[in-house]
Amino acid sequence: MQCHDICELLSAYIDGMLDSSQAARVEEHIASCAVCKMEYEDLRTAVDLVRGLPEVAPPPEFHDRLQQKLRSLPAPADTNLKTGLLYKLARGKWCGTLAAAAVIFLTVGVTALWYNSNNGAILDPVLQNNVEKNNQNSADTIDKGNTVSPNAYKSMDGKKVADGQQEYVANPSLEESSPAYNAPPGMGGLEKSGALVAQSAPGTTAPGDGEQVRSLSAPVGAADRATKNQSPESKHPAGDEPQLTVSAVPRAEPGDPGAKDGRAGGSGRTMEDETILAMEYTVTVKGLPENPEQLLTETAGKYGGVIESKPVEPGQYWSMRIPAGQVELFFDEIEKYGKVEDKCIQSNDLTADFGRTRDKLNELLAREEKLLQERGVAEDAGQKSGVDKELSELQEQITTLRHVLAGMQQAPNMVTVQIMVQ
Amino acid sequence: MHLPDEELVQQSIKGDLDAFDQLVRRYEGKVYGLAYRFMGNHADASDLAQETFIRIYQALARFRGDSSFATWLYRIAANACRDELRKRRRRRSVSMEEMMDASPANVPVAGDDYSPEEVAQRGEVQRQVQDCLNELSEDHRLILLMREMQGMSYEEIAGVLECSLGTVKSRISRARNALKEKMRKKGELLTRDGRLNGKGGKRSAMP
Repeated sequence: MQCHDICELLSAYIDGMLDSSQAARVEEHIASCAVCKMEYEDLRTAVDLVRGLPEVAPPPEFHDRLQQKLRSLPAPADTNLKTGLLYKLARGKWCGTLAAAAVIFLTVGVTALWYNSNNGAILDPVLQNNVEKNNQNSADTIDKGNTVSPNAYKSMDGKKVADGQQEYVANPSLEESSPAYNAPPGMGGLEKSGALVAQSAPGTTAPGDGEQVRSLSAPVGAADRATKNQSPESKHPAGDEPQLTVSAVPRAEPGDPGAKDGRAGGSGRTMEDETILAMEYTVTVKGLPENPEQLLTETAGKYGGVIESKPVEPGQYWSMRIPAGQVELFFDEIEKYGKVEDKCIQSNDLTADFGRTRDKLNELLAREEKLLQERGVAEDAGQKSGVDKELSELQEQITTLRHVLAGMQQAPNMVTVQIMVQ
Repeated sequence: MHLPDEELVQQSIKGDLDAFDQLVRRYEGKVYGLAYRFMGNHADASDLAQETFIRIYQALARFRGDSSFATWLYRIAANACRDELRKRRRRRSVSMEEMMDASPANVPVAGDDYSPEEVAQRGEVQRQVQDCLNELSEDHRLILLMREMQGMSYEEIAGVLECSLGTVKSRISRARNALKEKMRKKGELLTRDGRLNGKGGKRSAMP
């Protein structure tokens, strides 16, 4: 028997799964062949190391949580009835795909509907109203439409509106020639709404606006436009349909829509659609006792917060971090000792940063996986792969990024509080 | 009163949660242990073990008794493990729990009477062994966990995986060899020190 054949038998030999004659041959061989003996010993050790791992018991809360969960489920006899195709589809591996498909159909449907209604198919009272007026006085219609939707848009994503303003609205010729563009600036960012404006009131097309408006006012079939709206670059049309704007915009906004939304199909612990806001409270507190340090430290501590920095000279702020759910309670407590004034709440949107960092991390993880595979392949072929150095550098970066992400993720839970004591 | 599994299954199907609770208590250690070693951390193990029991509960009425309840349970657990990884690969998203769980506090500590140094060293070896397991393909990891950790026989594993004995035999062999190679790469595990940290067991009987 060759060494190779012996090696094939070693695993079964360890488990006593060989018949006696095979076992005898293996024993005989490893007694005389140092290489195979080494192979055997390493294999044996590998097995023993795994067998030597301690058993891990479930944490104490596991059982109760499971019981709680089970209680919320229908009895198994009932669930068994739901073995039809629909149930399987809904519960099975197609769940994510179906959900994604549903979202796409909804978007396409809603978009088509919206365009339709502008061409006369009337399904929504608001639209109906607009279209009616459209027939009488097109300028009026634009004005009305614009006063509703940009507000809705703005309330959902203030930051984006600001971007839009810089990019599109700060065009004086537009503003002069079309009353529509005097409305709240959110409109400007929504190129597609330009199509609407141009369509319903061709006269308002600004002479200086060049390509953008021209292309938008060009006659395009409704289906065509609906398709366009599916493209990642296009913002959802927010022309004069407030409800659609509200539901569609926030989903599409954070980061770049296309690629990521595709991945967000699965449910569970993804954070694809979550907005991460870091809240910051700035207040002035008057009439606190002479030396407020102890009071502030103790109160912050009482509500699970920490003091990050304290003022070194007058006019500086106390900076602390308080768990989001406790902030109001914290201020209530402070109110007992002094007067809280000028409360200003600011939120910084970390979603885009978080998205970028996470994408970068995923990129690195993909690279890591690839390197590990490469290394595995090389190892299987008995060669050195030479990726070890890159791999270890990569893994270091991964660790760092994970910490950064963890910090960002904690941001919504811990509110920054700046207190000026006067 | 110790009722057989199958009896408890019948009662559970009728909506007797206490009966199912007994089944859970009987198997939660095994399922959780498998999930923990498969995922490598507590947060994921908790999710996976919970998911497994929920699947079992919901599928109880479909348990026909063709195999033992334990075999059927492991089959569902194995599928849950695979599905979980597939889901992750699709999602490729980083969860916080994973990050939190990378903390050393979550590495189980040997409970025997060893000096702190020995405990620390043992903990380190175990961590490295777990790392090696994590690097294996899911099929290799799964079959090794069933064989080495759960102590299942080849026949039992064949029942769970619904494949032939020959397939089990060759897959275990390949999985062990892959593990051995991972351990060689780690360097210390298969040296003399590493060996001392293994159980030794039958090996010590060899010259």
